[in-house]
Amino acid sequence: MLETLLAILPDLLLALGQTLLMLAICLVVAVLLGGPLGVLLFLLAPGQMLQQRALGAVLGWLVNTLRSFPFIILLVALVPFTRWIVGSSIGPLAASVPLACAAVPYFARLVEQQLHEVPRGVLEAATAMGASPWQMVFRVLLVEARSGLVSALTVLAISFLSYSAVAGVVGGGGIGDLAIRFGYYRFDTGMMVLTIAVLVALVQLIQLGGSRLARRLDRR
Amino acid sequence: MATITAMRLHYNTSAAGPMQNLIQLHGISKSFHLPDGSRYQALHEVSLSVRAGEIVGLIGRSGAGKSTLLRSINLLERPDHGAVQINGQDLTRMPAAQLRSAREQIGMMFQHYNLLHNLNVYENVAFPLRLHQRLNAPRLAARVRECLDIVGLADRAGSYPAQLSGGQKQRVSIARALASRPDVLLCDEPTSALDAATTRSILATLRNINISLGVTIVIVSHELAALAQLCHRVVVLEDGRIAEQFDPADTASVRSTALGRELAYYRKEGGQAASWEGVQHA
Repeated sequence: MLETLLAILPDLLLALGQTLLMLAICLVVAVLLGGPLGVLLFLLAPGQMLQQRALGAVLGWLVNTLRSFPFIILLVALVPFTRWIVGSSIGPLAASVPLACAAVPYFARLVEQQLHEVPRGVLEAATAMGASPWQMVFRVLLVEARSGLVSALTVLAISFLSYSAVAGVVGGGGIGDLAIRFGYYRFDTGMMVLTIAVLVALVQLIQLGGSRLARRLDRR
Repeated sequence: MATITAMRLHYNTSAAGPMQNLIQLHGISKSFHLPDGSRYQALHEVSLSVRAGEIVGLIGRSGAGKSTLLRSINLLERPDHGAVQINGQDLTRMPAAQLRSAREQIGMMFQHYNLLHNLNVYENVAFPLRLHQRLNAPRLAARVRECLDIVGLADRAGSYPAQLSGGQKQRVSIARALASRPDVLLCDEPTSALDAATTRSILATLRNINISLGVTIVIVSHELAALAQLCHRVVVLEDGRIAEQFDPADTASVRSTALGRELAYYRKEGGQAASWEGVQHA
């Protein structure tokens, strides 16, 4: 057992690195693009500060459309786009493109949902004090929803850890890919168990860290 | 008795000279869409003037339009028709940025306090100051302390709202409303979620603020007995119209509305309401 472990350790470490790279890129893009998109979706909703039914509906439709693609289809459909951005359609960097594309609308919806949890009265009080839309976002919404936003990011990270396994299809590598290639295709049960154990540990870690941070940020 | 006299004295001084209307509502109408598609007319061309330094109580049954009227003073509800003038400036015609700075002069308190849960007491009171004023750190801190002193919560600056009682939260919201030195304080059922003793102490604080800082107060409340003592003028709303308005101290006249009679009764029977005396900051 120990021997096999040592034999596959380099493979495993490489795969772990690839997984973390894909996850990191995907989360950063999701926060940078999906976060503002979620805030916008919230602000455009009826009864909110920038209420714009038409624009809100168009954005909502776009988000729904992107989210309705099965991930493996999105992966293939985005190949030309991926090539244009990364210069290749193979490897962890290339796999990060469709991962990020799926993560952005997903995170946007999670953010929108969390902002709806901020009590209306608090927004009203800020309006009565003369807060601008910009101040409303940065001084009220993000402050009051911060704990929920961390939870949303935790959910996103864990979902996309498992999505990243599919990225093996385009040679993305990663732990999930290792499990499929060695554990599943080659009937290497030891490898299968090991990779899954690593994934379980990763998920537990992410959840633990996320929950702790969320609790610390919550003063309610 | 002494406090009541002091109250009236202040009222008379501020009303002396040319009658200065701080708030002027002209023909305010407001209707709402109901879920079933129909429209509900909350206010019918209501006009109301409030002088600087006055405490005006808005009373009425549920749905009479008192909250809508109060909330139209700072355009939290934008009237369908009519003008809202504060210090002679019409809020309804202001561009967004100008309205935001006009709102700095209108403090507001709510039934459910509406404090930011993730900010401590100090940061909640500093919130309106950070929105508008470029105060340096020491001046901001001094102003926040000043306001917390007024409501007797200087020692709770580091607490979070979740660690405070309802009465304390409402005091924080008073301090927050006072932070930017407003001319007007709007109170939307500020004591409806509080017990009787806390209610009296909150209303006593409001009265002190009116006397010592000269802040004009418009208050919506169901506490008729308390309003009878607190207000210089009471406005009774019925079905979105002003049914009558009177000075509660004028106990000789006959009131035309049931609520008016009830309030007048409290003023008479409650006498000069011993409850007002000896009320300390809880």
